[in-house]
Amino acid sequence: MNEQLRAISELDRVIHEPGRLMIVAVLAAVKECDFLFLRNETEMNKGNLSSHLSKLEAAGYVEIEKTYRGKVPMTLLRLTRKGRIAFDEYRKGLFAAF
Amino acid sequence: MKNPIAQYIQFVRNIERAKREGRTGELLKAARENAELQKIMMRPRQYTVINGAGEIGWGTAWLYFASSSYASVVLPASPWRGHIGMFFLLCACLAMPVCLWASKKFVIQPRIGYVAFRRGKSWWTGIIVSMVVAAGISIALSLWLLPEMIHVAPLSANHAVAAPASGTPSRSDHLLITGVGLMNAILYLMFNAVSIKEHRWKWICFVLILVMPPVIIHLQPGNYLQMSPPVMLFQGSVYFLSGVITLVWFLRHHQPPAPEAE
Repeated sequence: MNEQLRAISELDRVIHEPGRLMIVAVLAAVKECDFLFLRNETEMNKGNLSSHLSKLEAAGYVEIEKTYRGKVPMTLLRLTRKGRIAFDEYRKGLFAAF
Repeated sequence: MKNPIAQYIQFVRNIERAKREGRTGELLKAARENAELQKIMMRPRQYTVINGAGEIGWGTAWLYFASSSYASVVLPASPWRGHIGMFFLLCACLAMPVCLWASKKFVIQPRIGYVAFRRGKSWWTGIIVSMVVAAGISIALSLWLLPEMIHVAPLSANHAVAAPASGTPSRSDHLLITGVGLMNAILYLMFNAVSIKEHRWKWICFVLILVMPPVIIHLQPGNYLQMSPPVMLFQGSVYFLSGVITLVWFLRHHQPPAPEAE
């Protein structure tokens, strides 16, 4: 049991939060997507999503690029290499925890 | 994403280990959580297949193939007849990519948002393996059918499709037409792997695509060139109609986001 507790405590806390886990899982499956797509997928409101993305960006897991599609502003989001490695590690850790 | 086969082997090994250590329930809990994650990761890809664009594209391609065959019958003999047939063939080749592009630009992006998928090593491996398999099957079929095609080609040049049936279809004619039906039926299931649970009526289309080619052989016996246009017309129509119904359903259930108050 102690080993399990240690494995759980070793899970990446930035990713482990359910909202952020969903964001990272969606971003891990795609090359890049925009804010609207991520909002549709996660069904979060703008504020929540922005807040979670800021935390992931601060941790270096997500790259945020402000750009334009024609004249329409678009926020492009993609998982960094560090983010992908962290997510893979998290999934391995999830199995190890149980 | 990792290789699903490798993941499955790893999963089986983990279960064996957990059984030995007497903690199967906990492992299944972890597996369930992992499956949930996998589901979330697979969902973005569903948008490319659940709006019916693939079916419309494939159906349109088959309708153009049928039009190309019928054009050689309906149009009077002239140098233009060949060009028009080639034009229909070109349209058939372009139908699928154009439909997918249009669906991405005008249906998915305004409603769901912009998304680009990763094309890693496994994607390119899949493309290369598919091309090699397709080329292998084409070459094998050509070699197998060459003796028969030599007999059928003069008939084709003389309005084979409109001509009365020339005897009973051979075994290879049966095989080819049934094979086309089977291939299209499997492809239909692949197009609708995600949405067929929700749209039960698609099973009827699947059965029709699978069953009708042999029925058409009995209704209009002849050689392969005589039987294939009605088969292509029928299968293209089923695909196209199924795609249009799916697209209408998708548009009704996925409205563009309302503009937010300033």
